[in-house]
Amino acid sequence: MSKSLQLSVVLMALIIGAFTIFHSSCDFNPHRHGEWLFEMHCANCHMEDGTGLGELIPDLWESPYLQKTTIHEAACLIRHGIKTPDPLDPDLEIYPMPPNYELTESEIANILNYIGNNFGNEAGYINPTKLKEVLSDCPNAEDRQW
Amino acid sequence: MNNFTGLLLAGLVGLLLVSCGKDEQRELPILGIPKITDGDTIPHRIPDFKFTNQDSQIVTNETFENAMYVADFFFTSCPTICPKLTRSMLRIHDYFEGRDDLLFLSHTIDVRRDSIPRLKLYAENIGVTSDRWHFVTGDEDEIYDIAEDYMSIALEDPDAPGGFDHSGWLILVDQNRHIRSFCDGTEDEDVDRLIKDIKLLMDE
Ligand code: HEC
Repeated sequence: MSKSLQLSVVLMALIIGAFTIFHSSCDFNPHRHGEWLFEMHCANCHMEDGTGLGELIPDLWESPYLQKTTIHEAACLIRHGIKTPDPLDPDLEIYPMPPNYELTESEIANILNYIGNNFGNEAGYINPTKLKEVLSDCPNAEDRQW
Repeated sequence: MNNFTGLLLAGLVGLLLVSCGKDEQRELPILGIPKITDGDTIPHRIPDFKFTNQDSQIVTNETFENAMYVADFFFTSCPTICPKLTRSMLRIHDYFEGRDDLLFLSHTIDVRRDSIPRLKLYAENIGVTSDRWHFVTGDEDEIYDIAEDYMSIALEDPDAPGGFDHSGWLILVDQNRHIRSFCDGTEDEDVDRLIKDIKLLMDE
């Protein structure tokens, strides 16, 4: 291999390397874990882009719910899901949104920090100690109606 | 530019041209396993069916006599892929707004819980009517059997979330009851491809 070719190969490698490092730092996403969990546990219904489905599943964009409740209260909703009387048979109860007992506290925190600060929401961030307290004391956790 | 890069470039351009050209004259195949009787090959067809839709109207093959349609299998209380499937169906439905030669057929696989009023409520909640989109129920076995004709899986499975197992295909059927294309209703890009295939079929 000629000297100049060697040099250009090395230069090329350096440029590619620098570009990759620069590029990934540009892409830095503070909610990557939350986003991933959201896609796993929530996007089936709320969709990856958070826009939901008609009147069936609420749009999470600029969510009035996330604005009017505190982000900590929303943790109870994620943990225990939503139970409502069946609109077609008031004797029955349905879970339009299922509970998530398998999620850990920090997973719930990451999901909430993701949805609370994406989709046009500015719900602020979770205080982990407070979250623990809130989750251990969700109102009517057993029989909750939203 | 030396010879080598020149050649590479020419090759790339060539490849691009070939792949574009192919896309333009693509013809949709007839899918499914053909039957061979007396030496004749008969392509797979959707068999006769008779179901009831959200407005208590009878829906049969005749309903789709002058239209192609997209079919899927779902249930209203499904906690997993159904909302995404419905959303993809809705995207196709809205994309072809005003075309009465394209209809939609969603079969519930939970005939016990998904009564006609429940199907009606579901349709209303996503803002569609039976003019273009039929949500049907019927005999459980008939639905599970016809799922196979649509190359889909639909079965009761207590271990599956929500109690039913089913595949997430959206299936495109032409006026002659032939399956011409299908896609994974949970993958947006695959749904885009089906939309292209629907346009191809409309131009046939
Ligand atoms: C099976 C579908 C389904 C899944 C999965 C699901 N949700 Fe929901 N979600 C709903 C429905 C339906 C409602 C509205 C229920 C109601 O108000 O009756 C809702 C409501 C909400 C609300 C309140 C929004 C509002 O405007 O009232 C939030 C926030 C929310 N979900 C977040 C989540 C998160 C985070 C996850 C994942 C951990 C999740 N959901 C998983 C169906 C689902």
